[in-house]
Amino acid sequence: MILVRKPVPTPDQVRGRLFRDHALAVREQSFDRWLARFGPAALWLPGVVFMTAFFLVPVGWIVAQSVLDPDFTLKFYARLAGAPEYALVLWISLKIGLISSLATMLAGYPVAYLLVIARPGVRALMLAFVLLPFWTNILVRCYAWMLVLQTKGLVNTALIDWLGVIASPLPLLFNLTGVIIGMVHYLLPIAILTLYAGLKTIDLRLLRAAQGLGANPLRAFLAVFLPLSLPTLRATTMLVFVLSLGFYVTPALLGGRTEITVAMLVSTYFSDVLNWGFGSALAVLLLAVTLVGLTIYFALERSRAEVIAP
Amino acid sequence: MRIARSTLRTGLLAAALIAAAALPLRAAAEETIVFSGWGGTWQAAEKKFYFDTFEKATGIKVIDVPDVNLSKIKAMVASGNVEWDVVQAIGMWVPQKPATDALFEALDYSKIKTDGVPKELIRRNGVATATFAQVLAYNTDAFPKGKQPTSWTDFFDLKKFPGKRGFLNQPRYALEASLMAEGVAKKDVYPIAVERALKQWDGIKNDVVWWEQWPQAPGLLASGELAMTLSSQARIGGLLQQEKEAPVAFIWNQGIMTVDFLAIPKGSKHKEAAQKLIEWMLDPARQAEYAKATAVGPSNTKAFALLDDKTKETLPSYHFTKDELLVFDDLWWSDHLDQLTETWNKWKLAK
Repeated sequence: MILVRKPVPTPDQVRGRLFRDHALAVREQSFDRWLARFGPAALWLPGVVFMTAFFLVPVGWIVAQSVLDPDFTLKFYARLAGAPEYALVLWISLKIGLISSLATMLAGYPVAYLLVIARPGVRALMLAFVLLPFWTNILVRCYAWMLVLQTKGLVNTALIDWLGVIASPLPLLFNLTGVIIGMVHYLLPIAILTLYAGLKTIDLRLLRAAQGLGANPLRAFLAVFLPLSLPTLRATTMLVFVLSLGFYVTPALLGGRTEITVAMLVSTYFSDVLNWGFGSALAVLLLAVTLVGLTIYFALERSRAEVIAP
Repeated sequence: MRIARSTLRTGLLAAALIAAAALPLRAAAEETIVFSGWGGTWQAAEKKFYFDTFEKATGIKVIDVPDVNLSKIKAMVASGNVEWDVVQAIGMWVPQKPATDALFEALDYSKIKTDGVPKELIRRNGVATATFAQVLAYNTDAFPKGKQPTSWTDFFDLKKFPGKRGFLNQPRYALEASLMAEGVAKKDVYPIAVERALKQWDGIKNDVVWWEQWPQAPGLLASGELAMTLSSQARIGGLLQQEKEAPVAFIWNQGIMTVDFLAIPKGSKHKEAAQKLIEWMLDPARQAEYAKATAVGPSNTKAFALLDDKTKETLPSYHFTKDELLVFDDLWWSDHLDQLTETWNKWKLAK
């Protein structure tokens, strides 16, 4: 074996290399310092910019528009307060929202639970069925429901002509029932996916442990899984309820004479009447009610957390 | 910190790439203008008879988009980013008053030939292009020959003409229909006596389906969900063209005639070309072709000379000359729409 000796660097070369390493190190240090100072900002800044541009500015614009015409005025709010019908419409919106979110949770929770305990293949298939309607346009869904729910539609034809269970058609369309069916159909995929994301973090071995200690599957579910899922359940319900307050296409197409929501009026005053001031006041009313609801929810959550924490 | 830095670099690079991709790519091309109308078969016919021929003759390309909407126009004008150059507007949108004058350019009639268009249909900021009739339509299975409705009076008579009713979920047309049902003469309908008009509706309040969108009505009527409804003569006609056997029919008597206008949103960057297109769409020969295909009435009276009697009878303007139609007063409505929308919702919510 022949040893090849590396040529010995001259003192100048050594100095040069040291100098270069040093320069690199200094640059690296200064970059690290820069990163330490501005790195976190670089991470939160896009979020803040996004929220400002797409949430704060538009909402601020809506609020400004509700009190300007073109000078400061409260006339739009005076009009809101002046007619009891607007309070009634708000109540109708809350009622429709409450019923549809409760129905959504009742239907969505079992599905999310099944998703959690299902085998991977079955779960993928189930998710596909959940996602399919999720990607369908809301107008298309409403028109489809009209075909299904009308007097001579699929449901009534099946019940009367095929099964003979009832004599006269059920009123399923152009009333509260129609609105709830349409809204639950829209909200279900959102609820199921949100619930599933929360529920899958629950350790299923706890269920097996409970059963090992003598609980039957139902008892294990009620005593172990259900309590652990409550925070997810509460958060999802709140999310679904907030979403349900913004519906205007579904109640307009599937509802009847008295299914008028605040969001429907906002849409009417913005696009048909072109009174953006009053439309904005209606939108602010809806936003305020939603914020009050959210505040109460978070206050309750916090007090609950304090009770649980030692 | 090495990993963090490389992640950060990748992140910044990705952000830069996304920003670059989001930049609008504008290809330089010959002049292009954008038309916004109602969409559907009507606009497909507009493309065939107006836009394609216009492009061939002038070299100006017309992009047509659906869902014209006044609040979108208002937003475009307010932001200064006017994307639509010609819009098909209902009469209420161009009522020649300051508020909406701010939304549309004044048309230069020294450059737009309007021969044949009636004077009352030429406005400062819009010129009529088409006429429609909102009529009483009914299901022929529900009302066989000899027992068919002939006026709005029959629409409000649930005893003689049983079955669900349908109507647009808006105060307009509803108030006119109920006044005519009571026997108010067409010339006395405006200004509308609102309370009197609503009183008539009280009688059938719970037997009406208040539909939201015009395409809903023909379908609900054909399926038998509704026995009678308001609809547009051109939509019922369109349904019968597609399905000859559909059990639907309509009456011209006491129909409400509406007029669509062509207008240019204020701030359009192609005003000259837009005015050229408007003139193109007023041509009697082209309007006649369009009317044959759609049963939408022409605004240019010279078009009638080019149509046979059978086609003429399918058009609103013909029935207007026979004094069967009420002309919708869009100027009155644009003044009262805000207040009447509130009155309307109050009435709907009351027991």
